[in-house]
Amino acid sequence: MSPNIAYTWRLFTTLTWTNFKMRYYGSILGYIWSLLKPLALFGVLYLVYTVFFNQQTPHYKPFLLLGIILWDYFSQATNAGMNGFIGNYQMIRKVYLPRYVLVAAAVSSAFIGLLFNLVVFFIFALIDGVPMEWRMLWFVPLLLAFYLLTLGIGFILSIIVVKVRDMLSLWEVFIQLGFWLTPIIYPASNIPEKWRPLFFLNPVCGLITYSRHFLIGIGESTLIGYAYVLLVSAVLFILGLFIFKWKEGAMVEDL
Amino acid sequence: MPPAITVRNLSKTFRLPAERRGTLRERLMKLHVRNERKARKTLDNINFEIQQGEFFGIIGRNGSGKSTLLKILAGIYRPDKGSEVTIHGRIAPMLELGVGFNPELTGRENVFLNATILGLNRRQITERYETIVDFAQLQDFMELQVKHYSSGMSVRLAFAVAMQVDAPIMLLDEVLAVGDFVFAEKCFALFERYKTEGKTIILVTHDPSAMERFADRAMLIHKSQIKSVGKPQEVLETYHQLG
Repeated sequence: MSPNIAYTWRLFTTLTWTNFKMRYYGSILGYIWSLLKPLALFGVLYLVYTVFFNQQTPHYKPFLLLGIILWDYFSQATNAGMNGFIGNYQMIRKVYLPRYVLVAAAVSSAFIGLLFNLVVFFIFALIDGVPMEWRMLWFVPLLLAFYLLTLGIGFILSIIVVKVRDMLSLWEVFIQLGFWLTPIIYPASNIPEKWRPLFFLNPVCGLITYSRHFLIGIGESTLIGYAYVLLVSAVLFILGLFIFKWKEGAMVEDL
Repeated sequence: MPPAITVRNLSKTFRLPAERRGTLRERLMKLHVRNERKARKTLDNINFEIQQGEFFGIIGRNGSGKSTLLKILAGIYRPDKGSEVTIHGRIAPMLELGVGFNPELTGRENVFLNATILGLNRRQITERYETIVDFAQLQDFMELQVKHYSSGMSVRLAFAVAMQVDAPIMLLDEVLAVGDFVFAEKCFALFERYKTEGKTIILVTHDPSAMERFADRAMLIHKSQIKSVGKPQEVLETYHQLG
């Protein structure tokens, strides 16, 4: 049974769109609600860090907002991907379809949410006086890398969680900790020099730091760091796809 | 013409652990105890052929292995090594109505979703949308969320979409024949149509009358093996004799 490319693509787009609609369906505020969460977090953190901790970073508003939006996407996308397999148990047992599409559609619907959030961010940035520069275009490959990274992690998690249900909670804890261990609230320059390489091993660290550099102009980026982020994302994507394809058959029987 | 479906040496063994250790706690606590994997042979050396254009019935008790056989033909499960399953032509497995149906979506949205999952493209769905709605008699309800539908409405809608699936080989689970008497008649009318169109049909059913009315040949599966293949009457006899 090998369904053709056209079918797979149609299925992918339909499921992505359905997932996206389902996120905000029925709630009156709809999409606004999903925006409210990062905005509320932003509001509180901004208050605390500027008033209480006296954060000095210029353009701190868009700086903080961008970090939160990007991390929020990371959390949502990986969680959605992780549930892509076990959550669609009914469908998988009754019809054959390319299962990676289920995980990919879940991650992609979160990505659409990110794109909307980025538009809001741009409005924020403009209001805060951030100038438009050509340098911003460097962000686009980063964005695509982020998409691939979350896809890869989603694939891997979706397989693990079939056998080890704890993964759901473990990942939640991981995301919580990751929020603090990634320079979201603070700039990377706050990290002591000798620890910085360690922090940057985490691709999301580079992603967020460099995104801020390209879009707002804070901080700096190195070509090596940039290449590292793109490379790790691509590798995790390919790895995730392989692991998924390798194990999906066995996992169906374990569902 | 090559047979539509050829199955040789088909076996399916499920290796299920004796107890469920789905969480880390369960695994760690029982680390010292080996979780015996019980091998259950759900299908044991199945061999059969279905010719193009045949209406082939499959009957068997619950737990005999027929669902597993269907799932293997549908590509959902993988058979054991050494099994040969050859399918000549496009196959449309219909193991359940309304696959993918989401109660939060409207009737219209579910039609598009379900039809896409079943393989239709956007143009086809748009062209056939009116036919589907008319057949299901839900003209006034398509913008209503499916969670507000009665079970009869949902089944009618799902069936209306399923009818639009068009493939030379159709694999139908008995689930298609659930529903009231009127619904059963609609199913039978559909079977008649498929027969005149020369489709190859595999129907799994508990209903002897459907078997006798439509099937050219039939097969009885009992405790993971084929007990009888041939004329529907004979196969049904054997089925009853099993007690």
